[in-house]
Amino acid sequence: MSDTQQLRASATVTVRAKGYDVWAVWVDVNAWKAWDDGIADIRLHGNFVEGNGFTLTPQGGEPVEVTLKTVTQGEEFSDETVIEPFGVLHGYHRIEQVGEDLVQVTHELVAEIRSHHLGVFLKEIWPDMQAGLGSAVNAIADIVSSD
Amino acid sequence: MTALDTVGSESIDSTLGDPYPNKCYLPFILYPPGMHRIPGGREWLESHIDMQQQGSDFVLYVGIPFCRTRCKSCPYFASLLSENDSRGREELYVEALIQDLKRWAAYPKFATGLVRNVYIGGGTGSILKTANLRRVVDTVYETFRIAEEAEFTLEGNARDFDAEKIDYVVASKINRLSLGVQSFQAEILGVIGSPHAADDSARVIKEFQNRGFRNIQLDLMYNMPGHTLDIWKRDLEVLSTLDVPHFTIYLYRIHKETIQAKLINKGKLDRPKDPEGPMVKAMYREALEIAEAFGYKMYMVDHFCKEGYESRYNHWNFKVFTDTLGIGPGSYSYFDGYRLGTETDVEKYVEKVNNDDFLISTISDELPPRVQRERYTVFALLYYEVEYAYYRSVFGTEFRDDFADELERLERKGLIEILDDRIRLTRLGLIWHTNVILEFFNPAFWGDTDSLREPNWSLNGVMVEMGAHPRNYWLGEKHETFFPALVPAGAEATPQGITSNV
Repeated sequence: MSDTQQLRASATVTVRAKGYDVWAVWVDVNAWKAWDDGIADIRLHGNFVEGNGFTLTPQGGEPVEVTLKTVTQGEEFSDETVIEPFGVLHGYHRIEQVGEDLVQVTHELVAEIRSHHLGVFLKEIWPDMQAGLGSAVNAIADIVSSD
Repeated sequence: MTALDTVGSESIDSTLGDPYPNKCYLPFILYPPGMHRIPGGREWLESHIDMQQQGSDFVLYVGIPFCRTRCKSCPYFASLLSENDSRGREELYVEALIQDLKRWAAYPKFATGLVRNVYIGGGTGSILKTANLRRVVDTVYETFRIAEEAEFTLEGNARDFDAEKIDYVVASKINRLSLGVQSFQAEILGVIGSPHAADDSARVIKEFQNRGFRNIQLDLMYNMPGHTLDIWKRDLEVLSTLDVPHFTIYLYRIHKETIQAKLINKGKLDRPKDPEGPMVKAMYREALEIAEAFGYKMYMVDHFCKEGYESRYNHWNFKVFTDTLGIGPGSYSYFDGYRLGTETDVEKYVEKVNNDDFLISTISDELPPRVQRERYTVFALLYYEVEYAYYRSVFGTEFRDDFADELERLERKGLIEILDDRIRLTRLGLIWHTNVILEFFNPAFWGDTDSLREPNWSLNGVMVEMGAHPRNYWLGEKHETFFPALVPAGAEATPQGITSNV
């Protein structure tokens, strides 16, 4: 049996908007807390490019360091966060054009959690993370929607 | 003494009030603003313009319509080009562009005319792969007559330049680089959604300079959301260390229906400071002082250069009143008394070119002589002055006779000096320069709400919105001289431009 367990959650919203508007909201990392209620504080270090990172303080939590793993302008980015003692979180964010002026925005979270911490993680942390995905994509949709 | 003071030294008596009821911000002018849709192409062109005539001097603008991302308050048209470009859009576009360049150059009018200036803009001119950029530059030189001393500008973004592209540009006919820097501070670039990283611009400028390429211009913006005087000073300090011979500054504005406007309207982002407020005025002063201290002169509104590095593109377009051939989606041309626009649909453009035709989407009516004179004047005033002798050499009439009423009003308000050989903006006139320019708009263009329904792109839409107002909204009644001083208010959607073609 593996000593880590993988958890996966995602949220997708389809919205009448321009993909580049979604991208513009993403790259302004320092402003995420203006639309994501789960973030108490956030600070991008340098620019929104692969290898750089940001410090994110969740509401009621300790600051964590997040590293940008991939950045494809206008399309997607992914990040990685080590959360001790539980394991590693991988975040995936994608924009897909599904029609004229219609885009799908997806935030996906993959957690690789050490098995012996899984119980605590599932009980105390994962539910908020799952819920946060949905509220984040809805908040983005609310900002960028042209309806 | 600042650059502003060199324009005129008289004091401004603010107790009299302001010379106009509303201040207009239009750092880039397109004239006439109103255009209307036509199902245009070769047939229209050949039936309205003598394309077999002997050519004269003109400016060639080549539009590259792509951007990687869209800046948050960008009013320009841009088609986003994915980095993967799985559909090969760049190749298809460059192939069509080359065919289009050759097709225009096949007409005697443009084959025999002399190209005084070449400008590759966009979108993002620098976004092309090096091989494609080379093909475009080679085609320009193979198909047109280019003046030996022609300035050839490549506009773009530092993010696009790797060593291969820098090497190519340095060795090519391109002899001027224009970079949209906006800011050197990462936190500000994120707020405005620029595609490049904070240190990209300085790195690329130095790499060009290390290869002996000096003619570099950069755009900076001030009063972005979250922008402070301290951050602006840091930007100006970086600027002063880079030893570039030309820079421009632009007041950041929130354009309607952009994501920046939505963020502000939904309370997710602070509104920029009032452009008439003390911080923004201090920012402008700071830029003037830095410019002065490092040997730049403000040779046209918000354009600064060291001796000998004035933009020749602006010179030929605005000061000399040369025709412009704009090629590519989103481009505007001006020749033989017509403004012509090519709409922004890249795929439609490619299809039209591949069908052996031109895409001409909007035109102005043929400009009567009076409107051509107005057009010259509004552009010339970007350089603060109109020389009577030059005006006479172009139009054969006297400037002071043609615009006697306008000049009387402007002089009465203290906005111009009428000298023996020219008129010149006063310091107050410079502060109100866009309103001054509007004085020369043809009465027929005011209150033009019909043009709002026509296809407009880039800054033409902004111009049309401005012209949809009645004249007295911006300028008051003709007999009035002063108006109650403006009360600083929140920033509103007003025009903003960096570089465009006519």
